[in-house]
Amino acid sequence: MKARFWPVLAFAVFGCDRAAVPNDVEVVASDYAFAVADTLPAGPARIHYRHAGAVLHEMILGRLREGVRPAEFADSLAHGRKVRALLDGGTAVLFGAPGQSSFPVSIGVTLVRSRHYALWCQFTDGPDKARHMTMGMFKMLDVR
Amino acid sequence: MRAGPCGLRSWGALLLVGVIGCRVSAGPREASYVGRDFAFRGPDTLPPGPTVFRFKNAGTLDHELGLALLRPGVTAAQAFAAERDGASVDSIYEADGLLYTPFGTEVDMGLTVDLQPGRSYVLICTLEDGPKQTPHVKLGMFKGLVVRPR
Repeated sequence: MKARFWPVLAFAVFGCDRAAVPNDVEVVASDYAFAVADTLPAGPARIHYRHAGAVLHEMILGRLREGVRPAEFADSLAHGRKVRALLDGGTAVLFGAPGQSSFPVSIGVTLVRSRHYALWCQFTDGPDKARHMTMGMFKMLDVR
Repeated sequence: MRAGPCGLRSWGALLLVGVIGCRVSAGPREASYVGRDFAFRGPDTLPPGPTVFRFKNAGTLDHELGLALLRPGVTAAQAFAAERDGASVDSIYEADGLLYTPFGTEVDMGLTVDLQPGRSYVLICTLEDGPKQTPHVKLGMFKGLVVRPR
């Protein structure tokens, strides 16, 4: 009798796809940096964005194409070149304004093993000002 | 060795836990929208609760799906007027995020939002096809979304 319970119990406990539970990742944007772990585990993730700066920021998330080196991507961004060809599809963007500590919008993504993801902010603080990504708001995430 | 009525009930209870547990951990519902030149196609109303917004670009140009929560009392018509007139939207939107999809590509990311009952959101594409071109929002890429009350 007890032996028959185990398969049912196992289904009840482990039958669900445990991988479907996303990993919550918080990115904190300050003036001018993103604070987040350098390495993230593969699988479903919810990327939350918290604004801790004094000026307006955005957080763009994109996955580099296979074979694109992080340094190559960073160099293209820094020099204002188009990076579309270096990215694997589209991007997701969240915004943050001073005084807003958290946003009810997050990015849902399945992080792909051994791939690189970039975070950057293209905003400036005014005409002729440097883009935030050149001031430090660029971060590469590796997925293990 | 036969399971008596009590045993069957226990099995049933465990299965129920498993099934309900799976449903709970199945995650948020998905809402899919398609962007064309120049309109959004997808639901006008959604139930409240955690929702992942997906976006497919079925047009011939780059498009984005911007999702913005309207501040209480602000209507979609007022938001559209502000976008159309190029006015500040600071007093219009409470929070926003977007999915950008260049023509010919896909975005395998989504925007996860806990949709608030009775609140209104808008979907918007503010891209333009070049300098001095008309923003897509003015060409029709604006859509109101109402979240049903609980």
